[in-house]
Amino acid sequence: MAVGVGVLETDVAAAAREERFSAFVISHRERARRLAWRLIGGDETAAEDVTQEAFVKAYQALGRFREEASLATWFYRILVRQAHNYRRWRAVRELWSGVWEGDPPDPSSEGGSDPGLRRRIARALDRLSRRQREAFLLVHLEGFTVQECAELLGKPTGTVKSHLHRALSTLRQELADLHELTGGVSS
Amino acid sequence: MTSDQERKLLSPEEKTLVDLIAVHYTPIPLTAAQRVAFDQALTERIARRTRVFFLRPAAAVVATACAALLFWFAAPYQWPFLLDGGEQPGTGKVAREDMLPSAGEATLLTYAYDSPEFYGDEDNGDEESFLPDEYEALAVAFAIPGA
Repeated sequence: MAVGVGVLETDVAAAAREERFSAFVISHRERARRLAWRLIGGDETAAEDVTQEAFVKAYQALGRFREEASLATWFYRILVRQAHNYRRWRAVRELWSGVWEGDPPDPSSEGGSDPGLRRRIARALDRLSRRQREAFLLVHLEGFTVQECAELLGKPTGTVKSHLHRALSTLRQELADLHELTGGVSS
Repeated sequence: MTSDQERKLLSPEEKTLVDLIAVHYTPIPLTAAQRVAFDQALTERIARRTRVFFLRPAAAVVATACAALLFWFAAPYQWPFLLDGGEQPGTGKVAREDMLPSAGEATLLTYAYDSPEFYGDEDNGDEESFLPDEYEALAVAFAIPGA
């Protein structure tokens, strides 16, 4: 009954694979969705779509990674790239449809905090270069180390540090008046 | 939030700015129902992608077979002459060379043309001598003159 044993082993392997993927989704779902939301600029539906697409790619590549850490690094790299592709296509669509206004999508209708403040932050982040924005969000908002960020972006750590420094400088200039908006929170 | 290692490098103002952005620029966490819907949509998407993945080789085989059949029926007689330069049957270089007699055949032909049997005997020119046996039998039966 070699065939039966083979089928049994295949079923066991498939079940183990499903279990491993399920655990991966549970542990990374919220963080991935939040990162996608921030990278895209506050579009809930697009963030979910980008996150799911990255999870699908992770599922297909599950067999290639034995350790979850390496799978996670690869997964977030895919997620960042997916988000970038989405932003690029959105820009093209807006350009063709003639509604381009130079602003990111309005995230004021989503989230629980001050809509005006969120819109200000979204605009300030949108003025950063792609790499500056990705480095800032990964390191300062999502808690990745500079080393991890460098691996995700495929850049040297020195380059990432430079991006972070410039991003912070730009954001400080762009959001200098936040003190007034937040009523003293930023002091 | 910034990892401790990176946070130490920030000035107090930068820390405040980063905290402010982190608090105010974040999506609402998914509810339990939304998490279930997310997982369900993800499962469906993976199943759909897996079906497409397995159908892809089959679709490629079917498409190749259809193309081969179409090509076969569309141009069955054209292939040798297409290879030969697109000329009509019997006019191509290869075809003309095939039609020429070999050395042995040329000898036999020469012998045949020079042989008196080639030009026939006294019956030569009598069309009825070339008729089939059945016709000759019929001619005898009906007493056709000259048969």
